[in-house]
Amino acid sequence: MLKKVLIPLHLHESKERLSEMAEFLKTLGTEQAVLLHVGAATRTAGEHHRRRLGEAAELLQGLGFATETAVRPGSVQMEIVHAAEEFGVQYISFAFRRKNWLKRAIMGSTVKDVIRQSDVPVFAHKGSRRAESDRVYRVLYPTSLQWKDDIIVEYIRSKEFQPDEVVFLYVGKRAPDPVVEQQRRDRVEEQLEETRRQCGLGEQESRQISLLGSPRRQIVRIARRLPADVVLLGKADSTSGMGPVLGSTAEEVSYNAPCSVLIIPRDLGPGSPGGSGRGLGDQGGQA
Amino acid sequence: MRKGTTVFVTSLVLVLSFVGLGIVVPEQLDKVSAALHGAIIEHFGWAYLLAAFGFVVFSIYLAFSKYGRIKLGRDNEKPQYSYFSWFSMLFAAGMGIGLIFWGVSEPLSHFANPPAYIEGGSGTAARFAMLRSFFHWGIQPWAIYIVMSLSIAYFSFRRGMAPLISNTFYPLLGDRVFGGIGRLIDVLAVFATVFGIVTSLGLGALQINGGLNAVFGLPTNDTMTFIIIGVVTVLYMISSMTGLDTGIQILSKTNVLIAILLLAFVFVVGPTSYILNVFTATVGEYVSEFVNLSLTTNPFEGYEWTKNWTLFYWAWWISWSPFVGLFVASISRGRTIREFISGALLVPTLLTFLWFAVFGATGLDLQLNQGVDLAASAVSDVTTVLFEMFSYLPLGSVLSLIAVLLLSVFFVTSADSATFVLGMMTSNGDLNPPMSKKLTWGILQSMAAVILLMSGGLEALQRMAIVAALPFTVVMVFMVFSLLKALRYEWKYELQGRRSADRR
Repeated sequence: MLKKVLIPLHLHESKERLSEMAEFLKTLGTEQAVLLHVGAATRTAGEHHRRRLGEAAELLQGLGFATETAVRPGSVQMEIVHAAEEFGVQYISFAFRRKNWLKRAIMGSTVKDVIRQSDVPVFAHKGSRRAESDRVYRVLYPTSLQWKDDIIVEYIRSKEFQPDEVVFLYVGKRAPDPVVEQQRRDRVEEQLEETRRQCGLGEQESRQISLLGSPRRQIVRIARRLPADVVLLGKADSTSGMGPVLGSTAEEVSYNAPCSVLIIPRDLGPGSPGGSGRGLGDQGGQA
Repeated sequence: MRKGTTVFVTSLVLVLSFVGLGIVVPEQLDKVSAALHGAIIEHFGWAYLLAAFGFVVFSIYLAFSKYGRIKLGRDNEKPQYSYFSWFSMLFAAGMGIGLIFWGVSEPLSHFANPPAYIEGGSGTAARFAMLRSFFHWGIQPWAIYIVMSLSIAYFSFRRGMAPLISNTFYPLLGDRVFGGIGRLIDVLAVFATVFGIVTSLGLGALQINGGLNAVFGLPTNDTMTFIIIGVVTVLYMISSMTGLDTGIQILSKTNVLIAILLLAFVFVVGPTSYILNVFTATVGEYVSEFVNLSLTTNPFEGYEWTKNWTLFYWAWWISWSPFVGLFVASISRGRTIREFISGALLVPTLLTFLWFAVFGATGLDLQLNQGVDLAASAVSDVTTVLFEMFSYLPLGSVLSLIAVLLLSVFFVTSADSATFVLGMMTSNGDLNPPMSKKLTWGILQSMAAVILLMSGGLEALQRMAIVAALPFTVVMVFMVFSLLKALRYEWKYELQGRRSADRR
């Protein structure tokens, strides 16, 4: 399902960080990795980058991955998106590194830019605690209940994923009066229950949370409170309201969540897993 | 304790305490209210200007937006009142008595005492006086009322909640509107309404006294004022007992008809071409300078004047808005948002402009072209200048008599509407409030007006109403967000769903 991955590297990643991410990607069923560095096009720099990429590729081969490498000059996010298309990967994975607010305000965030532009799923890896055998591996799935959840359901049901607990989260808006609000709450309960059944999960392995407020804030808050190991989030391509200024829910959650985040575009391109353009829930509806 | 009872008891105790302070320690109340009022106007005046302008923008946006089609009631509901009844009641509740009070005296007062950067008594001062009078009584007050009344009407008639100000916050606060915070909002609304109506009754009684003096030579003293308040109280209590459909409606329609006749008569016998000139020029200036007028606080020169007039008015309209808002909401069932906003924003504003053009321009014509120093009277006693102006027109005594009648009926309709609204607010939004509560509020507001006129605490109370306007401005800003949230929800989850189902 997520067999082939594109891993953009800035080449400052430590071996530990890279192998930790690679271990996690294996649990998603990934077998092939394309390692990409986008950097200066000078000859000496190119050689240096190729050598570092070669070392990273060796590390991944040692963990059982088939690898390819590529060095590209140009705009980082554009090259990542083009390479994803060119190599036919099924998702892009970043070893996420948080920037301070000033750096982020001035330089922006590559992860957020790629999430905005990419047609394939993007995984922001923020360290894994899956290795700790005595703790619950928890996936948080925020859904808007507006789109078909088939693709995300497929991820949750896949044998590689195997979470101990899936938490279904709905963040909605309060209805304008108490009667309609009660109807809304009942409807949300029913739909969350229906989604849980689709995922083939029993009550022991899942939980349902329904909240009011801003999806981007509530998802991050709940991910922190649970704590979640991975957030599975759908992304819509429509932009509305303040979306272009504030960024989408998917972009914000990928950056602010305390755990790894897998962003899956609602309209997956051809060749992608389940790429029939079926809808996924975007919490917030703008990307 | 039930919400209605809590609000009733708390606000009754609060109002009685303040009135008690006005009787026992009028000077201290005066000092405290003056200090509070002064500080608020000094430091938060800009907020009033911004908020009022924001309400105008919001009203226009809603009227032209997709939400304009939403009905203040069920989809197939028809308006409860005809256009004429609706406009009459809108006008009577929103402006009525104030317009008669200030129709001549405000332009003349600005003419005599403009801000420091304009020479008093000059042509520039006359232009400024008319423009500012239009501005103070123009679109902004109605936009303030619209925000309040539209929210109440939407949440009560469309969403089936009780017509209470607190209920308009359901999208933001959820079930908390039924608890302490909701009660606090409703008590604040009662507080502002009582104080507003008490001061309005006191000042209105003074002007009726002035009119009776001009027409019949009756003395202008406390006893006469108290008799006037007593008579008017009996009248509005009778009107209040008959309910909204008969009492207020009939009185408002009669009054607006009399007002239009008076306006037409003065227009014909007064300086007609001059009035038309003034009207055209001032409307032109008002339109072209609207944004500038709306946002200028004159921080470098003339801030004192802005504080005393514009900011005072804005605070006054806001403090008056719970009363007018609830009343206007209760008569607007069945209209679409677009119809409601365009009607409430344009028709009363146009009538107000005509009123100021006719009465203001007639006064200025006497002042500038006929050598009559009305401006001096406007500065010394605002209550009698209208009657003095009438004495220079044909059938002056008849006009004064009609003006006294108008004042009295507007006085009755205002007090009657206020009694109805206070009863409604303190009985959990019951559209047929119990007689006992209407009686309590009716008698209380008249007694308070009498006592405070005697003790000299009326101005202090007016200032307290304006002090209450500051928290209410914040309440109204949140009200805008709450209404928008509800409309968005309805459009996105209810109306669009219904439309797609219809298409299928």
